[in-house]
Amino acid sequence: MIVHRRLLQLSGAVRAPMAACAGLGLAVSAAHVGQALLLAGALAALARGDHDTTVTLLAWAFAVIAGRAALLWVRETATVRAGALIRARLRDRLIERLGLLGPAHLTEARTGSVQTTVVDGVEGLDAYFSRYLPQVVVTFCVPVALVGWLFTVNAAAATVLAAAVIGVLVIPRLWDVTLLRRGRTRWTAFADLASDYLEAVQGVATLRAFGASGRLGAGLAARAHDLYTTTMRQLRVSLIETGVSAFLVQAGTVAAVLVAVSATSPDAWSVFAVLMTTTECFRPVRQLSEYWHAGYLGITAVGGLEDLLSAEPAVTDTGTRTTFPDRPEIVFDRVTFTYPGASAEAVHEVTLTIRAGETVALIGPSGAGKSTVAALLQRHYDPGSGNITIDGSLLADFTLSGLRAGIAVVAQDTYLFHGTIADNLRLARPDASDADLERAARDADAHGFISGLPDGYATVLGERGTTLSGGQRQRVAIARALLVDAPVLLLDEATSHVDVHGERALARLKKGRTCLLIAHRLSTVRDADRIVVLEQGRITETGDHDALTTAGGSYHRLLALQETRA
Amino acid sequence: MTASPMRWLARTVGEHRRAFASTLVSHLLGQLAALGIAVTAAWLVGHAVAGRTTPLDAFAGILAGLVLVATLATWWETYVAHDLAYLLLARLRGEVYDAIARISPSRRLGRRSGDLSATVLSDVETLEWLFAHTLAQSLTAGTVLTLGTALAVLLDPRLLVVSLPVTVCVLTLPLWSRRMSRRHGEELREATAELAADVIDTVQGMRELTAFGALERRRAMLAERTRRLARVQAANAGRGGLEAALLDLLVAAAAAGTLLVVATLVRSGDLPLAHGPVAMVLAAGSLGPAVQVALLLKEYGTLRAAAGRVHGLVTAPAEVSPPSDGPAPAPAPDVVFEDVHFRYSADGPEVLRGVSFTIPHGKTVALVGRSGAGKTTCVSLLLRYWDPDRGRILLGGTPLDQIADLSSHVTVVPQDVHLFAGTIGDNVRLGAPSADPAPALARAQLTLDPDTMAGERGVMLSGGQRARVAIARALAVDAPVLILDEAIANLDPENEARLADALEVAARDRATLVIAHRLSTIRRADHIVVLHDGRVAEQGAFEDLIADSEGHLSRLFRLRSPEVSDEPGSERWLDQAKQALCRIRYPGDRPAGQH
Repeated sequence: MIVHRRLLQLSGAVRAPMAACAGLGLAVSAAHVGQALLLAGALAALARGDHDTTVTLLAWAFAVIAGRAALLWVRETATVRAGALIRARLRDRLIERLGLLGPAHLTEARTGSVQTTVVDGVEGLDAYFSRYLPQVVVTFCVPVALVGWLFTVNAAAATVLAAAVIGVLVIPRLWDVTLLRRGRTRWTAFADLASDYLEAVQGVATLRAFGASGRLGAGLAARAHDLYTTTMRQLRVSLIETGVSAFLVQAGTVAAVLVAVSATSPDAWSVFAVLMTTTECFRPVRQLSEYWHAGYLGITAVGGLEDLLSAEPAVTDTGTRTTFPDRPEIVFDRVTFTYPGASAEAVHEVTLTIRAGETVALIGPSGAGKSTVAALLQRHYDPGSGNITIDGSLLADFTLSGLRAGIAVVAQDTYLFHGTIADNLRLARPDASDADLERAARDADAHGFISGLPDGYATVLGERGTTLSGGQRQRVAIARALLVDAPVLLLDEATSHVDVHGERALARLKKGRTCLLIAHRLSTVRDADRIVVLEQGRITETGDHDALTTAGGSYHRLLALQETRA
Repeated sequence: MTASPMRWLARTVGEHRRAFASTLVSHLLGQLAALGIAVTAAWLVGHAVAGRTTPLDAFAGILAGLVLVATLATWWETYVAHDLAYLLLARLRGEVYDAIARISPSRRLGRRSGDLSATVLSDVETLEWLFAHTLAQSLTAGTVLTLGTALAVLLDPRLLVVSLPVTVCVLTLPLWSRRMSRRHGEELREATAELAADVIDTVQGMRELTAFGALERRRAMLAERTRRLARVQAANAGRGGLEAALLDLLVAAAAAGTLLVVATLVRSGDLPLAHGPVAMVLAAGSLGPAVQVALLLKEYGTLRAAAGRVHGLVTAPAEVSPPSDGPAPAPAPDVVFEDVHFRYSADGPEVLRGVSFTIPHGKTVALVGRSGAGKTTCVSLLLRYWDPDRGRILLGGTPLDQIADLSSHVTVVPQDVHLFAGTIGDNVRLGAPSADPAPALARAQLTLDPDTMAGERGVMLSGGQRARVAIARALAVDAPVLILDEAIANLDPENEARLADALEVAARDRATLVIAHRLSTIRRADHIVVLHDGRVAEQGAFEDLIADSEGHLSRLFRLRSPEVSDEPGSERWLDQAKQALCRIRYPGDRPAGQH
């Protein structure tokens, strides 16, 4: 029996439905006890030869039984309703948390592990909250009350029974800590395995192309076998508890009966009462172990939940400003940043200004820190030192949602969600009309290929071989950015896939916006108001195309390289 | 599906005969000991109440022995049952993975189906219940029930007047609702899998969700999914709860009813009072195990749906048959496409309609065409994800479906680079486990330490780094056929230049197929194959093809397209277009569903 403090805290929001479940559980138990006492009474009457009383008591027993059937049904319905509420709250909290932790967290976490916690873990916890915890209440109340009452009937038998009940409730607690620890180990192994499977399934085309699916499969099989070993290690502990409980239940019953019948002149009522009461005393205990089984996956998931709930977001959302300035000026002032856990600085003392409506291009080799600048502007991280301001306000002064609503991003690789192409476009603006979508798609030069897809805008991407090429995905991303219509535009290596269409679409997109353009293809950079060259986290050159060409530095070298290849 | 999933699972269990027999025997022993305890205790009580004396010491000894047997048997049964169950789960997980590897990438279904099939793991977990708690238990329940009934008949056949009909009801109750239970089970699994796939989508798309402030809506959408699941669960629980209540009602009624029968028999003097309690236990108490099984079976639908999904996957036919024995491909092989036809689904359009071309050894062939022309399909067929519907592809004279280790002959830098969590070195070694990753990385112009972690899907790396790891991975295989699918789109100019040189060196002793969009790459190829609507529209050297101003290649690169909606012809536009023409790629996207 595990009552975990953290899980109890989590249950706080749904205390009332859980109390209702416990109350109904007590009512059902009361009906069981009632039936048992009525049957004991009937048996005792039978022994006395009082047949009329036997029949009357049996008639009452039937009534109680019918009532209990109704109660059981109500309890099941209430339990499921409470469970649904718990799952909805808990899952929503975890998803919200994921959002708070943001993309920064997810570079380290594994998708399969998160999915297992959010889906299977929460499903498992439902049983813990809606069945196990209420049954814990029943398991403590019913036997104590019954034994207490039995003292008035047969003190000797009651004493024996009391010992057994105390044993059943207390002894297994000795293993709780070990059980929980091993359970967590098991959960980690389970979640890791789920991550490995998901990764293998998502990458199965690559695995097949490299003839590696068999090798990876063997690795997975070994991991699966490890999970089996881990599970059995945990079960061995759990089974000691099961064995001890089973023994105490059986031995307690037998001992109580023996004591009752060994009395010098056993009174029929007292003997039958003992017989029936022992059964009812242990019924909640047996049921608790059934619910333990149902809830155990969830209990072990507490580690995964803790990981999510206790992870520190990379940035805190304490800003209050929600209005984003129109055509703002963006200033990086001696910004230095080191990724958590990394030893080297990703960017060092980066200072740059993007004036209102200006386009500044950031170029440099991959790994120079360009994407870090983009991540800092979106506030996925806060700089270690230095400031980033938008029209004079620190990024942290804005609410995260306000800040991110003000910046439209076209990233290097665009993630497309399961759903239609229209859904994917509406990600940026859910209330966009079909006409809005089409206008944005036309401006992004995406309307042509979209209207040629099997179902046009309603085509579900990714199914039946409907994939988009890199350039097409890029234009979907541009259309999204056009729909957002934000004052700041961040093009994060957005030009890598871009063809002529995309380039013109980008030009349209930049019009009237303050724009940071991160690029390694220099063609799109030429028209920028200023070009900043970043190398190994430091700014090495700044100027417009002509100035930098004349200066003959890195930019000039890169440009020369590219033109000779073209 | 060849057999019913449940029968298939029973056969799977049957392969572990000893463990299953052990489960069965220990469970039976435990149940019989429990019945023995109940009967003995009832006998004692009956005699005590009737005022007869009994040798208590002897009975105490018997009871103690039975308690010990019951405890040990229960403990052992739980242990072996779970051991067997989790062993089977590990085995099934392996089979599920093998099946996914065999049937993917599916030619009919897409990414979503992959995410959904990953969730089959939770289905496998669900089956624990069947293996550890249902199969052996059903058999034991039958035995205990038969034994109890037989003994009751020995006492007095009339004792069964109430309990026998109730037994029949208990045993058939799960059958009454079977259809509804199955429907609920299937809906439950489906709703759970959908939710899981949506969570995967949310996690992997978190960057765009935050960037577009769409997380709130995503939360709402997932909450709706959870609600949908809850509705199905509520319907399932309504049915299950009703069944549980009915079972409880039946058992309690059997107990009370049997007591009534006992009372009548005792009154008429047909049954000695001392035998009353024993008679009750035998007639009504032996129902216990059967009720336990019936209670488990109320979730039969969930079990059945999980088993069905696992079974469906495990028995799905492979996309391609295992390679048959053929002559070893000639050294320095050419690749020949011979009248290749292909469609994604039986009722879908033909995507390749008789494609023939050759990639000679030591040469680079560029495959050019608008989106949907069939370029990527050619790549998939050359990797033998699927076999052509008609025609064949030869490698060094041997058809692809006769080459045992195709992946050591053909290797690829795919358009969508998929990297695995682990080090860069691990990723480079994917196709050649014993290779040293350092030289391959050097040839791919990547100066990162091979021990650098790549992160899931390569998230710790930049796009350019990912592309170069993919190139190193392909070069490490040292296969005579190399496919480059939009391979260098993500690179900065400096790296691109160096990489192009490195790839040119690599291409000298390989047959290389390039899917290219940039004019510069296309121009560098020895031979160009222009695909149009699933056919080879023209092929030849770049200069020859571009010389024909009405040819397909020329038309592909002429900036004329229905999508161009604004200011065409303006001076600035023309200027830009000219620049772009030299630097970037052709504007070749006319739509099509499949490619």
